[in-house]
Amino acid sequence: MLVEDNKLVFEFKNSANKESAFTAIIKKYQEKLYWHIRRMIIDHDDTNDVLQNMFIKVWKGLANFREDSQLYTWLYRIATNESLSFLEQKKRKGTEHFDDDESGLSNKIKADENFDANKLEWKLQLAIQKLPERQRLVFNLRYYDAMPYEEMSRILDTSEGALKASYHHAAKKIEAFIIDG
Amino acid sequence: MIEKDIYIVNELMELSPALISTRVDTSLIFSIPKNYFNNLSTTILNAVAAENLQQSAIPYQAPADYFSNLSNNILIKIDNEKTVVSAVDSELQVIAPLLITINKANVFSVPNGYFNNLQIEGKLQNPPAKIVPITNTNIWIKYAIVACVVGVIVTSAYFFTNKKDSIDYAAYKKIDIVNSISTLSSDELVNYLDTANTITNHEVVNLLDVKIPETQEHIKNISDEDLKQYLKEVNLPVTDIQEEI
Repeated sequence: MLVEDNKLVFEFKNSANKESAFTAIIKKYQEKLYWHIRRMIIDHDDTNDVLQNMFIKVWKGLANFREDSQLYTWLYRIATNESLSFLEQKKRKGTEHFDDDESGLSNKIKADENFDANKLEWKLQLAIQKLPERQRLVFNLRYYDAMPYEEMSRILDTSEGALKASYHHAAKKIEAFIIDG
Repeated sequence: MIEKDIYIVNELMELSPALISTRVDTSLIFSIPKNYFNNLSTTILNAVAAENLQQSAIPYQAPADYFSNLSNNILIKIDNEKTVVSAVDSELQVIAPLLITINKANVFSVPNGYFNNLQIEGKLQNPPAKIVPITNTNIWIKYAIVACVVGVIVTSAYFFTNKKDSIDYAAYKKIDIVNSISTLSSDELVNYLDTANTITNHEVVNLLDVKIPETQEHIKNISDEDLKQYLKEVNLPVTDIQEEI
């Protein structure tokens, strides 16, 4: 049974059932947030690490959550920042070469057990990885999550106009990549 | 009971004699479960208890018209979602029509049971409260105190070492300077005046009781030839000085 977010937050802040409220939040949002992170990070184990860190931050910060934005927006923002931080760390450690499309995230995609180079869905994933990180984020949120620009603006702290432009460019680039093969 | 039976039989004789022969005990026709009546009271009591429990488990009441509006509300939400999705598709139709044709299902593999078993590992306990000592001596305050003490010491040392000796003018006045100076050679006098900065020539002159004649008056007593000789010795041009005199 779906419980409204404000009730979950209230329970977390004001009752002895903090853990059960937190568990309910996890159950409600785990899949959405997992896929949001996974589409950025690709690898399941890395995604699991980021998701864990993300929820630990939620645990620590939810008591002070001001509810001036939706819980959903706040969770997405934390997940987005954790994903970007993770990718940045990987770059600094030099374990990934994100400028080279033949290695890094593209290799992780090809390493997936379900990978099929002939299928459009996988070509789409390879195309998405060619985008800069923030453009990739915008594309994923709009294309997969059908997120309105207004909401996306609150999560990414960017103007709606900039997001629309970013999404337009991203979609065109991806289409061109798929068509050119 | 027998009287009642006789009454019924007599009644039937008047109404329908044929029915007398077919009258039998109904208990011999219908079957009932074994021990039905023995267990009946227990069965009824259990049923009553179960009904009471169900009622007590749902003490809440749903808002008025909740169920009558529920289906409508759900359909509105579904329509809203469709609107957003169709907006995304309409957008893609203009920008990149190919992308609409691609299946959006997640293609990446996820371990079996991952979401069912997801647990957050890590420090979910509330962090321990920060221990604040009663004597909250800030280290910066200590540094400031040390700096002040050092400053006082350094400043005192500076003023102590640079203290100028006071000049005892009264004592100087008592000294017979003329006689004292007359015992000194010219070289000693010149050397002293060049190196010592404790007293100016002007101050020495002021201390003397002897009135020094004005320069002009003094030069008048010196012959021209002596003056020229002097000027040559000190390499001063003779003509300029002559004009001044």
